[in-house]
Formats: sequence, structure tokens, C-alpha cells
Amino acid sequence: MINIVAAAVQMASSPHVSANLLEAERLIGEAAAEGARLIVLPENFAFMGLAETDKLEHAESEGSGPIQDFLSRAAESHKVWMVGGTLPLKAQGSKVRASCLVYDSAGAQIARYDKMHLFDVNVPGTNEHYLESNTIDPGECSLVIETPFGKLGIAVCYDLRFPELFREMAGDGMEILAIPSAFTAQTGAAHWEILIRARAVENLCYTVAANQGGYHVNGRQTYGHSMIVDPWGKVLSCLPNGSGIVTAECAGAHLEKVRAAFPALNHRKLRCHSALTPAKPL
Amino acid sequence: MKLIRQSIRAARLVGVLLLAVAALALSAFRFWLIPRIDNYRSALAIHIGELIHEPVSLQHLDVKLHGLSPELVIHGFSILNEQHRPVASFEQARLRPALLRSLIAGELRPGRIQLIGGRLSLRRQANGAFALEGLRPRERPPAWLVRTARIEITDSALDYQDLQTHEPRLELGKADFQLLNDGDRHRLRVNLVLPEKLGNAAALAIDYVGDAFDRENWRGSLYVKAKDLHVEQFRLARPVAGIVLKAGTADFKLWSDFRAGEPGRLTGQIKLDKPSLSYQATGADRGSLSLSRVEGAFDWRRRDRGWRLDVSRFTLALRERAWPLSRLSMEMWHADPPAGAIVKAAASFMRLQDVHALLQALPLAKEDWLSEVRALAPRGDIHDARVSYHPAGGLGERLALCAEFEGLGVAAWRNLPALDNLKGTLCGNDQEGELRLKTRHGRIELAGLLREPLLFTSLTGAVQWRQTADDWQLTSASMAADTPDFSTRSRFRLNLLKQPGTSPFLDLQTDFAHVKLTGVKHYLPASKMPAGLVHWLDSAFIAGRIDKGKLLLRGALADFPFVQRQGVFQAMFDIEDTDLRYHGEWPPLTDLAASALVYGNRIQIEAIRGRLGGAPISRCSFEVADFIGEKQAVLDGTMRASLAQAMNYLEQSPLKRIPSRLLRYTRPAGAADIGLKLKIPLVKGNGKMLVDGSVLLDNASLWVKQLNLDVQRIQGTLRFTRDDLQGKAMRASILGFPAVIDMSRSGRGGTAVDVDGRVSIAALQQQFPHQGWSSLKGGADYHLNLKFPESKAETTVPASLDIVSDLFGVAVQLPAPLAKAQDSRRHFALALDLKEDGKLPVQLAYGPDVHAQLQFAGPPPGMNLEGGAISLGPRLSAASRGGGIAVLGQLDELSVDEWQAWLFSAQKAGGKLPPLRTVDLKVAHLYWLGKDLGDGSLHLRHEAETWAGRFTGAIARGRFQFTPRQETAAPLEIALDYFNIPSFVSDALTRAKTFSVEPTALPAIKLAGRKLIWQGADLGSFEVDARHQRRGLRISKFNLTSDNHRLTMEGGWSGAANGSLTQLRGQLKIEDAGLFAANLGYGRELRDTRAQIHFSLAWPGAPYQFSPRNVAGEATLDLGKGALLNVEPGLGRILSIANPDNLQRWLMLDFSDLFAKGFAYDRIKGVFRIANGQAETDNLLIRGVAAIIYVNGRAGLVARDLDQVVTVTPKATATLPIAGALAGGPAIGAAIYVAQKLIGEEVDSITRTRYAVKGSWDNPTITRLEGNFPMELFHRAWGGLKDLSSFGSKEKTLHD
Repeated sequence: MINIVAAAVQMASSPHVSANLLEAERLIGEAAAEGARLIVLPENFAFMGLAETDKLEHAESEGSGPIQDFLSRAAESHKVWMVGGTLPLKAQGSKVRASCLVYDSAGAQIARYDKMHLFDVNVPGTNEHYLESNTIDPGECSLVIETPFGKLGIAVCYDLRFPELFREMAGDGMEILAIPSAFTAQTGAAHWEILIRARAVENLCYTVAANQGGYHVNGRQTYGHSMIVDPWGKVLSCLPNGSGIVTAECAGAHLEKVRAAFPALNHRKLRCHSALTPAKPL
Repeated sequence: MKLIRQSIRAARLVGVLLLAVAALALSAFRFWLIPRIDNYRSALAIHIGELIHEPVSLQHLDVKLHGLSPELVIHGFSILNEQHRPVASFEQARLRPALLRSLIAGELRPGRIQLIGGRLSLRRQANGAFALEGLRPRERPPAWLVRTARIEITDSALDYQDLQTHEPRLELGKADFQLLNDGDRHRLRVNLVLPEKLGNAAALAIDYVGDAFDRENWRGSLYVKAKDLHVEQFRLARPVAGIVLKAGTADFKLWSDFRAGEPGRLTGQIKLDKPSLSYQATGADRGSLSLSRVEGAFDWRRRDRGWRLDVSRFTLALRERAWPLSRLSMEMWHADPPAGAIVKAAASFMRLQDVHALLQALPLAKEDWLSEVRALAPRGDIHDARVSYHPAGGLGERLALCAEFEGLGVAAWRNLPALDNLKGTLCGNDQEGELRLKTRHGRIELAGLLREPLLFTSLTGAVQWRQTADDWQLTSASMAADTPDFSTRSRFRLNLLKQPGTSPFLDLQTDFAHVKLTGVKHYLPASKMPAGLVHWLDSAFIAGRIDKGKLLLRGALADFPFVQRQGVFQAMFDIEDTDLRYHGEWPPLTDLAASALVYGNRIQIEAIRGRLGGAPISRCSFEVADFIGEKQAVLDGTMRASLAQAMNYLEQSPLKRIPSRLLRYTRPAGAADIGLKLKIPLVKGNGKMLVDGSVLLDNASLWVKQLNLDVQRIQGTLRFTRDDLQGKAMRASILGFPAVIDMSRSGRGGTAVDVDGRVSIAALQQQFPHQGWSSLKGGADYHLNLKFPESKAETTVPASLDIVSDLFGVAVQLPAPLAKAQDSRRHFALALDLKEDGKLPVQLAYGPDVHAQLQFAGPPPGMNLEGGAISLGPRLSAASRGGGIAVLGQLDELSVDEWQAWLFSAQKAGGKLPPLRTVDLKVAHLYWLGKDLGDGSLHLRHEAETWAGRFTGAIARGRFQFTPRQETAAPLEIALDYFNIPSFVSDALTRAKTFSVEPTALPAIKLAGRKLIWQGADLGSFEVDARHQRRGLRISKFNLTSDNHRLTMEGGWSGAANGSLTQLRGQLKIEDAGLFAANLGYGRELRDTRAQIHFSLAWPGAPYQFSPRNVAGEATLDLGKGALLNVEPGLGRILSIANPDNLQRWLMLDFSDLFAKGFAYDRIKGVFRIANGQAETDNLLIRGVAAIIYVNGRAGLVARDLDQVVTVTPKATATLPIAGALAGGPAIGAAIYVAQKLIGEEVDSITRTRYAVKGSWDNPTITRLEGNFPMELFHRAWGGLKDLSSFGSKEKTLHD
């Protein structure tokens, strides 16, 4: 891995694609101006509807559509690698996939990751209910890709709660983890930073977590606190709330140093399934 | 029991003995000692002086018994000073000894001293201590006061003197003092009856233990009471915190526990009526305040290092509204040094405006703080307020406050909004806290942001604040606000940064509902918005609501509306039942339901449904892309509308001239898809509105009012801008034929419609019913140009219509010069103005020689020809003024026949003649009956209901006059110089049966002519009188008179249900038929021959419609002796007199056949009965020179056949030189023929022979009934007859 300035874009997206793209364009420009060469957009950056089903209206076919055009154009014009949050790509049937597309600095789509773990949750302490599986078809595979600056792994939001996924990605050599998210304010306050830092620490990687943050015009509230965390679990940069960016330099030397000094990844044990033996009767 | 009884008895005995001793002693005191008491005055004075350590003087002594207790009464008791002058004098002093103590002590010990009627002075010493002067003549405590068990000073005058202020002595009225001393315990009571000007009464009670004259050692209690104390009369009170009670009436009660001379607890009640407070600083009044009332019960207690004050039942009335009874508490103490005072305070109620007034009037705090309070001008009621101030708490200086408030309001101050009528609770400190609002009908005025205050019908929610090192943070998880115009549920975070000059940062998310759009203008952050947009929004929403919507605002308020995207401003909402006036000059969008998005400085509204100009919209978006920069809005919509609706919409817009132009002349119908894109400037002076509209016509139609013309099935697209209306290659159907229509802008803002199409005459006739169309056949292509005038001139300039065509395909079946063959081309141009007054001025050009300016009038379709001018031939300027048509013509040739035939046919078709006014016509070659009559002219005037004119030509010349509409219809008067009837006329008229006129339609005629010229022969003068009779015309006179002949006729022409009928009877008398024939140009071949013909004939139809088929009547022919000098072939012609077929020609004075050549006779006489197409005679006798011929039978006038018996009786002495001359006709022709043949064929002596003549006129069969007749001879002779006139041929031709 080589040094690179990464940026996480934090937004509070609305149900209007054009408005969101304008906002994203502004923030990408700011990030690029600060020297970012890897920019991670939050989940649902282009659209957060009033209802779960609203996203179906904006579903695009892979390779074409205004959102993809925007991502490609933005990556190309700013000469950055772009992790395009998530956008709805048409799936079989009436559902979509929550897809995270990765574009290189020439604007070409390099990879696609489909969110694997769907947020079917009643958020405790709130009236918020989510049932993503009603509209989203889950992905099946993790993703770690080679980039000019290192191996980049992609996961989305609720995936964050499933460490085995990241363990697998670590096994694939992941050095930078990008996590486009839309953590709710309630769950985010409780778990966001813990999980982000935990994923960074346990997998000894830089983590660029771009979250939705703030009030949304649709009435929801997301937690924000987009952050960039180094392999030691140190929060390099964080934006508590509102639209904006966080940037930080991801240093390859630092990664190597931490991994060398703390070779936890090398200490993993193979799984050992011992057969259950019935307890002896008293 | 016995012992008890003995004890009781003993006790009773002792008691009786004691009573007896006492009675003896009392009697001795009363009756022995009292009368001598005054003797002890000096001793008593000395004794009293010793008691009180002051010299006294006594004037008189007296003793009174109160039961067993004596009372010494001293009259004139004075306490003397060192100079033995009285310093205190009393009218009386009453001394009641303490008997037991006196007995024990063996000297008089006073038990009670009562001083009455003295004068005392209460003084405030220079050191502030109070002293009662008069009882202490020297500077030492009056110890006697406290040694006496009870001292009363009653009914004594008391005054007050303040040695600090040196105010004048104040008389306090009558005072009663009571001092009870019991060792160290002293109880003092003072009752004071105040003078009226000071008040009512006052009382003081002190109960203490300690050295009576060492106040600092006192321990006890104090009670003070006053009623109706007029405060202004006293200068008792010291300023408390600089505040002095300077006026008012006071009632108070005060209890105080004190220790070591200092009060430890102070309780009481106080009531101040109309108190006046004054704040004094540095010895001067700094402010004052008058109140209505202050009342309360207080409890002040000293605490360790501080004190506590509780006030209960407190009320304050600054003006009229009194505080409710409330409780106040305040506690102050000092913590460990060096910390300042710790203060806690509580109040069950406070009225902030009163507190504010108090603070302003009595400036108890620092001026800068007071000025801020003054600026805030707080008002409202505070309940259960608790305040604590700790100068150095664990977190530093802390101020904490909890309170409920109601009706809270403050004025706008710095960045804080003005508030009014807020209700809620506030609890927190300068670090954090919470404000809970439960406001009804509150008001917040964001003067710097909103133009009008926010009026809340309800405002509920909680706001937490927290102070950090950098800012103040205000957050609310839920804030519900209802105003008369909307309801919101919001959550927000507001950061007020401490760094000067930084803008507050707001993160706000709001759900709003029940928004009255008409009220939105009241809540606009106008100061942050462009004036143009504000102005637009002020009037944009006429009606409507938002059922629900959402808003998000995040960013520094100073950056709002985030033009550079420094923040986020989003709102999304659905609007319902909204009338949106997107531009003041355009009709609003009505019944609009739409989803709207506001993002940054962009506003997008996408309509779901709505109406434009009453028509439902199919799609409509309204967008202000950049209301800061572009300052314009774009309305882009389509609607499916009827054309009427579309026109109605445009009519209410600045484009109204488009529909007004069209609707003035047309009425559209059908549906259209209308597209409209308006770029609307939001700021005046920011350019004109740009209009890009289209009207997609689909099967629309347009009715042209003035022409009653429907343009149907219009398909195509019309485009319009603010100044233009265009349509290219639109398809339509006009009068059933396809047409291509172009619309474009014409000069100076007008609109031009160009139509290329085809039309048939039949369609035109159906569209514009008029008899004139009957003369036209076929159809032709045309180009039509319709120009609507520019709006400014539309009041004076009507729309114009121009039609041009080459008329190829149209046959004009009118007489020349109007006639045109169907396959020929002739330029046709028609121009008319579509005037709204019902007039249709038409200019018409037809070929090179016909031009017309015509005026049509009347109700639609407006095809009633009212007047105009028609120019025939070289274009002449015909006057077109006035009504009627002026015809001016100069033609090379004109066929009267054709025009006559056309006129009659037109009349027969029910048409009316054009309303001619003048006719001036010159014709070089006038054709009549196919003959060129040479030149002619007609000059006609129609004035005042009278037709008058003159004509000149080869046929006739004369004048005429006719007034058809007079009540007594004057006859058509014709005066002719001559009437020159060409020979061809009669035969032509005979055959001219195509026109007929109703007799009732003809005027009475009075015709007089000087010359009737027939083939150059003057037949004399003539007169015709035809008068109206019941059903037609009665021909009362028809005279043709010359020296040689006279033709007289009379009869009538009357109408009937089944047609008209002509009846004529008359006679023609000729003196010398030879001369008559000669005059007619037949030479002198006829000699002598007086002739007389009587006739009485009738036939259906007009007189000129005589026909063998329908004539009926009788004619009697009687020719006298005469001879035709040139017999060959004249006999037939002579005999044709009897041929009714010729009668019509005779009526037309055509006697050519009669005067043809060749015959000689003695007499010809006979009667013919004519009916049913048959002419029958049974007595026609031709008494010729060579034979006598008698004819009996009939001749078919229609079937042209014969069925006769001809009897010929030759005269032996003569021959008939008339072979081949039988041309007379079927009635007698065959007989003559037979006679001629018989005689001419070498048969010179034959007796009477009868022949049957049957068959057609062309080929009759002659059968000899008696005698021999050579058939070969007959046929040979018959062949020769075919060349003769008037017999044997249907193809008769006219001959001169």
C-alpha cells in the first residue's frame, strides 16, 4: 500500500436525485481540492426516499443511468477513485440490488459490490422500522480489489455488524476498507464508532466510513460521524453531523508498521468444531 | 371521719377570726389613715425621688381603695431636673403598693405606677438609637422603671423628633405605655392613638430579658403594629438597599425575636397602600416608583452566615392588576471565603413587567445589566421560579434558574427574536438546561428574517441548551408549532458560536402540514430572499394548501439560501387545490395538485393535475432554477383543452390579442393539445416574458362568423410567442374539401392565415345559399389569405379576406361577358373585410373586364347583397355610395337573349334581382335573338322607389318610369319613340318558352309608342294598357293603328291555382292587304283583299307562351276578293292564314307567311275551332278562281297529322297555276294541294271529287273517295311540297 489521502463524504440525502447529485458534486469537489484521491460516498447518496419502495423508481441497469453517469463523470473530472456509495441497480424480479460501484480515476467502472446483509430491523427505542429485504435482493460475494494505492475492500452499512465478512476480506489482503453507510441516529450513537474502530483494529486496515448524517427531509435522522480510522483504531478525522467531508492520509508505512508490530492477522486459528458431548446425568 | 370533721371546724374558725382582724384593719385604714394622707406628701415626694433617683414634685395626694388594695393618687406629678424644673409632668400619678413586698420590706414598695396625662417625646438620637425623653432627665438609665413591677403611662401626649435629620417635631398623639417588670424580664406595651394626619393607631410590645438599659444584651421578642400609617409623615425608616418608602399608607404587624439586641427572626405582615418608593444613591433620589398596593406576610430569619426571607401571601399591584397571593423566598449566605454570597431565591409568582418596572424605576443593579433588561422589556407571569447563584461552584460561577412562565414576552434584542405570550417551563443553568414550551397563541417576531411575526396558536416542545467552550447549542428533538396558516413538527440544532461575527448554524428538519398557501407570504425569510421573488411569492398563491410536507435546513443562517451551496435547504411538499398566479398578467393555474421541491435556490413544481384557463393540464412543471441569479421562472406545461378553453386562456393573458383577433371573427371548436412554455421574469425590468407555445390541433374546427364558414378537421400545430402566431402546413377540411393552412405573422403584428384548397360550386351553394350559384358548375383550386389586423388598429381595421383562383374547373353559365367554360382559366380575386357590423365589403375581380365593389349585409351568413358597384369592360370608376348597385359598363357586345334568358330563369328559380341603383351600360354590339342589333345604351336610375331610365338602340328608344311600391301601384310607363321589331323576333319569341312570369308579378303597363316598325315598315302607333285585375293583368287595350289597318285586342292574363291563363280576343282589319303586304316588304304582289280576322283564343300560361298544344278558341277568317300577283308559291302562304300554328307569329305581327307569293281568290272564309291540339273546321271555303274547295276535318297541331275530307269542285273555265304552292298548313293545305294537283295535272274538267287526307303532315295519305286519282302523280307532287314553307317539315327555319 502506498500513501493516499482518502475522503469520506457525509450527506443527508433527500428523495430527489438531482438535488443529491448536486450536493455530492459539491462535496466531491471539496474533497478533491483537499487532495483526496480516494473518495467514498455514503450509502444511498443519490436517493433516500420516503418509502422503501421509492428506490425502485430510480433503479438503473448496470452501465447506464444518470447516477452512474454522474459517478463516472465525477471520478474522471476530479481524477479520483470513487466508491460510489450505493445506488439501486435492477435485479431479477421487482427488486433491486444495493450496489456499490467503484470507478477509477478515468471514470471507468472497476468493480461492483452488492450489499449482502439487509437491514430488516425495528430500531430499538424508536418508531423506525426497516425491512430492506422487501425491495432489495442481497449480494452474495465480498469484494476486495486491487487499486494503485492498495487493496480496497468494500462493505455497506449493516454489513458492519458481521465481522466474519471482514475477516474474509482481510484474508483477501484488504488494506483499506470503505464502508458507505446510512446508520440511523439511534443505532449509530450506540454502535457506529465502536464497530468502525473494531473493524479497523481487528483487521488492521484503514477504514473509510462514509455515513449519512443529519436530519433528512423525509423525516429520518442518521448518525453522521463519518470517520477515517487507522489500523490502530485511532480516529483520524470525524465529522459529527451535517453535510461535509472528512479526509485523512492513509499511510502505507504506518499500516505495515502496525501489522508488523501486531501481527494478529497471522495469529488466526483455523476453526475447530468440537462435537458436543451429552452431559453426564447426575 | 371524725378527725376530718374536727379539722374542718377548726379551719372555719380560723378563717372567721382572720376575716374579723382584716375588717378591723381595713376600717382603721379607711377611716383613720386616708383622710390624713396628704400629710405624707412631702415624705412621699422624697420617697418617690429616692425610688426613681430623680427629684419629683407632688401637688396633692389621694388614696383610693380597690377592694382591699389601696391606690395612692398623686395629682400634679412632675419629674424635676437638676434645676428642679419639671422635665416631665403628669396630671396624675397613681401608685399601687405591692402590699406583700412592702410588708416584708417594711417600707413602701410600689407594685404599680400609673402616670396619667403627661407629655413624652420619642427621639431618634444622632447615633440612631431611639429614646423616650421625659423619663430620663439625666444621662443615666431610669432604673426605677424596671424596678417597678408595673408602670403605666396613659393618656399622654407623644411627639417624635429625629435628631439625625433634624426634621420638625412630630406630634404622635395620645400614647399609653405599660411596662411590666419581673426581675430581668421586662415587658413593654405601647398603644398609640395617632393624629388623623399620621394615621390611625400604632402599638408596640417588647418582651425581653436582660439588662433593661443594655440593648445589646436583650433577648426577647418584639411586636409592632401600625394601622393606616401615613408613611410620608414619618422619616423613620432607613433606606433598605437604597430604597426608601417615601409615601403611602401602611398597615403592618411585626414580630421579632432578637438576641443580643439583634433580630434573629423577623416575622410580620405588612400592607402598603399606594406606596411610593424611592431609590437613593449618594444622597439623592435616582428613581422612584409608585405602586398601587403591596401586601404580604414575611418571615426573615438569620441563618449561619446569612439570612433567609420568606414572604407569604404576598401580592403586589403596580397598577391595576394585582399579583395573586404568592410566596417569595430568598436565602443568602456566604460560603467559605473568599467566595461571594450564595443566593437562592424562589417565588411562587412574579409578574415580569412589574419587576421590570421596579428595576427600571429603582435601579438596583448595574446599569449595563439594566439596560439589557430594559431592551428586553420582559413581560409575563413567572410561577414557581427558583434561582440560585453560586459565585464559585464546582464548575465556576453558576446561575441556575427554574421557572414556569406564562405570557412571557421580550422585545427583540440583538440576535434574539421578540417573543410574546409564551408559556412553559425553563430549567437550567448557564451550562445546560431545558426550555419546555406549552404555548397557546404565542408570538415570535424574527424581525430580521421574517416580515411578520409568527403567530402560534400552539407551540409545544422542549429545547435543550448546552454551553461549550465555543458555542451555545440549542437542540430540540420535537417542537410542534401550529399557526393559523400551518402546523409543523420540528427538530433542530442551533449553534450560536461565541466568536463574534459568526453566524448561527441551524440544522432543522421540519414536517409541516395544513399549510394555507395564501399565508406563506407571511413566513418568508424576506430579508434573505431577492425582492423580486418575495414580490412574486406575495401574489403567487391565490388559494391552496399543503397537506403535508418536509423541510430541511442546514447551514449558517447568514449563508441562507445557500446560493453557493454552503448549506442545504430542501423542502418537499404536495400542494392541493391550489391556484397559482405564476404571473400577474396570466391566468392562474387553478385546481392545482402538484409535488414541489425546493432545493437551495431552486424551486420545482411538478403538477399532478390542474387547470389552465379552465382546461385540464396534461403535464405542467413550474421551475425557478435560480431565484437569486436568473430571476426568472419557467412554466412548462401541456393541456388537453377545447379550443374555446384555449382561447379563453389566452384571452386572459398578455397574448389576448391573439384570441381576440381570432374570436372576433371566428369561433373555434374541438380539442387541442396545448403546450406552453413561459419564461417569467420575477423582477420588473428584468426583460419581457418569453412565450413559446404550441397548439396541436386534432380534428378541431373553426367557424368563421361573418362567412358562416366551418373549417373542419383541422390538424396541425400552431406555435405562438408573445408577439407571433404561426402554423405551417396544417391540414383541414373546408366545405368538404381538403385544404392546407399556414398561419404567420403579418405586418405590424397582425396575423395572416393562408389557405390553399379546392372547393366545388355545389359546396359553396350549400354553404352560401343563393340563386346565383345556379349559374356556376364544377369546382376549382383557390388560395385564401385571411389577415387579422394588428391589435392597436383592430378597433378600426377589420380582418380582411382575399381569395384568388384561376377558376379552372368552374363553368360560369352566365351570359357574356361573365360566361366561362369549365376547362378555361380566368383570374378571379375576391377581397372582403370581415367587419363586425354585419357588413361585408367585397372587392371582386373576374377576368380583365369585370370588377366589382359589393357590400353584403344582414345577419350571418351575410350574403344579402346590399349595394356596390360593378364595372364591366374597361375598368371604370363606378360610384358605390349609398344603397343598391351601380352598374357601369362599356362592352363590345352583349347578348340580350342570354341575359333575358338568365334573368327569366333566375326569376323562375325564385331569385331576386340585384338591388340595382343605377345602370349605365353602353354596348357596341347588342345581340338580341342572335342578331347583332348594333350599339345600344341603357341608363337606369332607381331613386325614391321609382325606376326611371332611358334606352337607345336599334330596336327601341324611349323612356320608362315605374314606381312599384306605391300603394296604388303606378303602371310601368313606357314611352317609345320607336319600336323596331326585326322580322326574326316573332318567331324567336314564339319559341322562347323557357321563361315565364307570374301575371301578378308584373306591373301594370302603360305603353305608348309612336312607331312600331316591322322589318323596316312602320306599322303605326301602338298603345298597350295592361292593368291589374284580381289574379293578374287585364289587357284592356292593345291597339295598333295605321291608315290601312287596325289591330285591336283585349283580354287578360290571370293566375290560377294550377297556373296562369291568357285570354285574347280581337280583330284585325286591313283595308288593303296588298298595301299592307307591300309595307311589310312583300312587294305589290297582293292586290286588293280586304281582310278581317276575328279571333277569341285562350291558352294556359303567359301571352307569349302560346302553344298549339294548349291553345283553345275560335278564329274566323274572312278575306275578300284579291289576288296574288306572283302566285308561285304564294297560295300556300295565303292559305296558311287558317293555320293556327301561325297565330303566334301573327300576334307578333309577323305576317311573312301571309304575304308570301302567289294566289288569287274571290274569298276565303271559314271558322276554326281549336282545342286539345286540334284545329277543326267544317266550313272552310276557298272560293278560288279555278275551283271551289271545301274542307271538313281536323288537323292535329301537336301530332302534326291530318284527318280531313277535301272536296274539290273545279271550275271548267279556269286552271290553277299554283302547282307546288301548297304551304298553308295542315288544316287546309292538303285540300289546296289536292286541288292544285288535280287541276294542274292536265285535268281541266273534272267535277267535284272528294278526297280523304290522313296521316302525317310530312307524308299524308290521300285517298280518292270519289273519282280517279293517280297516286303516282300525288307522290310526285308531295315531294315538291317539302320545299315549301310552313308545311311538311318540323325543321322550319326563319326566313326574312
